[in-house]
Amino acid sequence: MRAKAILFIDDELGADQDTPDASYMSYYLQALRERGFQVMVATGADSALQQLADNSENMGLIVLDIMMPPGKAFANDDTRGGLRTGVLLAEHIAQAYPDIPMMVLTNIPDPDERKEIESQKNVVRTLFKPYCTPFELAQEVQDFVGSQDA
Amino acid sequence: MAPLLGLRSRTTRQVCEGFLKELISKSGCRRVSVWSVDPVRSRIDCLLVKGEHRGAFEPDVRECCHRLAAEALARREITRIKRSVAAPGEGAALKVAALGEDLDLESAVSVPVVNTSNINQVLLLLNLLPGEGTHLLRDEQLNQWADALAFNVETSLHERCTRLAKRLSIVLGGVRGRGPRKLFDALAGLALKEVNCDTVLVFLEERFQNELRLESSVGKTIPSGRDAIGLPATVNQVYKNNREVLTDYADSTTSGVSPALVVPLRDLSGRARGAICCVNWVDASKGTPPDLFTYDEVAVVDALVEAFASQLEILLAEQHRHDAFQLLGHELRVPMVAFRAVLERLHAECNVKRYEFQYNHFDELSIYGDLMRGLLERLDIIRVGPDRVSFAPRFTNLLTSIIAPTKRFLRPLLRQRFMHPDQIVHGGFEDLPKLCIDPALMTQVVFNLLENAIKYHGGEPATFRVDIRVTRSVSGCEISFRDYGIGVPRGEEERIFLPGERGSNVRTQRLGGEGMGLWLARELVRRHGGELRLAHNSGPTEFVITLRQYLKYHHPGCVESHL
Repeated sequence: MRAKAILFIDDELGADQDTPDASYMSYYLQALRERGFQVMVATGADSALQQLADNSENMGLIVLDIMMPPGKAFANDDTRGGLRTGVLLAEHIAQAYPDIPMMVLTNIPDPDERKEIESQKNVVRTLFKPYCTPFELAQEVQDFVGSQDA
Repeated sequence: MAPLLGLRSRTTRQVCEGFLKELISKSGCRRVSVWSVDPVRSRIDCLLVKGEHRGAFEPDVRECCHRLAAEALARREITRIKRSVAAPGEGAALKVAALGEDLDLESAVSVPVVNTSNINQVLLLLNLLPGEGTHLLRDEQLNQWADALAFNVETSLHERCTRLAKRLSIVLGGVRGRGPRKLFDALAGLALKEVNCDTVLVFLEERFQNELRLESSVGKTIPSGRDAIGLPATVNQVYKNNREVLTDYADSTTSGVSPALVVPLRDLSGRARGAICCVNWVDASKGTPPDLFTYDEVAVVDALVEAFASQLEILLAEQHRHDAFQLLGHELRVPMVAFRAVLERLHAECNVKRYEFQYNHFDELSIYGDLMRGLLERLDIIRVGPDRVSFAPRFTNLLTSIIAPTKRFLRPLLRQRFMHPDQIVHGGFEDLPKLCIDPALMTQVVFNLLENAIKYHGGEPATFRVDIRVTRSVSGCEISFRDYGIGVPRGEEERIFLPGERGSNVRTQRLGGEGMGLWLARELVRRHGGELRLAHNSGPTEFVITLRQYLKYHHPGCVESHL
């Protein structure tokens, strides 16, 4: 697992995550990279699906947000204005890439959406952003990877 | 003939049935049929046939009666025909020979019956086929019958609608939990029973969008493929035009048509906010004719919708509140997460570069970050409801993980009131084992109780004091919170736990608050299978939380290894 990359899917990462104008979400990226993880970034559902199609064998873990624009991939689905894009994306990933574990990192506190996404068999953890700072996320990932390697 | 008052609160068909039976026995008519006008479909449907018959309503007699009814409708007056005489304007097709050789009917009379109570159902046609010797029925007599029938139909429909509206109030009053889905199910369930259809669907407009979403479906499950043809378009049309529709829509599965009745779901101002749809799924392959809806049923569903309007207003207001809270929560959560992330990074960088400050700014900012998080948590609990909020219990040290952090979060409020965290004292925690509780929710409970004690102290800051004591019991523990504030007036011990309610002494002193804190605290304690009660009203005021060490039903988050 350690050799494999983490795919971090969150629209709030923005396109400029390695610049001084980066969003606060880039602190999460930074914390993961400082722990030695290779992190790939997808700022939407379309980009995530493209990267998975190109490079799924190198993906060891997916960190996924729930609320995102539906993109072209889910333009015709009921995403409730983007509130459920992550749920649909997780369903798709669970079917197409059942071996890649997913951690959900979200700001959405609604139990229904969270339950729905947690029902996907490769969702290993659901983290709520207000309760998970960047260092805490890095620790969660480290603990998970450690448990996989053990 | 006297009006049939005993037939109130029945369907038009039932009213007509009793009426025709009596009419036949008194008039000597051999066959009577009632026809109903359907202005939407531009046709006249046979509602009922009574009297002599040989099997089904003979096609030729039916056709003749139908034409006679149409003639009476067009002329809006009594229309008669005799054997071998053509009806006015209808030519050879209406010759009395068609009335039926077997029944040996002599003549026919069609009497329009105007029904004014339901503006949709404009006319009933009473179609009489007299027997031998009774074809000289006087117009005056016929008009009296028509008036009596109209009166009974109107009275019955009015009574039925009134009774149904009252019934809906009772049903809604008995809905447990008061969730929108349950209330819409109750509405649909009553419509299903009253209209006698296969399925009732309730649609409500989407938030921020001019579209409908399905809120409730009761009765038979929609057969596969059948919802795709025509029905969604009809429902949208009813919602947009704010007008009832009776329709038959194409059924792709059976190549038949299924009758549907769609009525707009209106608010108190009469604006369409959704639609209610009654459907009969007709299986054309079985050759059974569809059981069509009538305007009687439109009136019934209209009455239900009218009775539901005030409940709908409440649901819509709650939805707006829910949306506003969700938006506010989301908007505040982003900067709060960013604040905590940046603070954490800044702290780490300062540690690396060995910066030292005069005060512990990071600790102070961290408290404010946690306080913001706690307030957002409270916003979410109010929005989602304490009974639905995520519940993740794990074995937790009550003192170090709940009481101590909560005291820290209250530091800004204490400072504002010239009080100190040391004025909140605790005892009895030494031998307390870890409890199976949700740390975030229990922190909210303790926060609410302590916040109340601070806000409603009433005296000098120096006299402020809260004693938190734990007493162990066989199955768990009791945690008491004693303060020496303004107290709770006698007789209000339970009322203060209701949402939006506050003690009368709090209101007279014009102290701020929204009356949600104690309600939330009690509901959250109950999520843990425990209880929160007021043990003493004042001097000191004492609130007691009773908790089990283990949850009544074992929760996967609380496994022995955590002990």
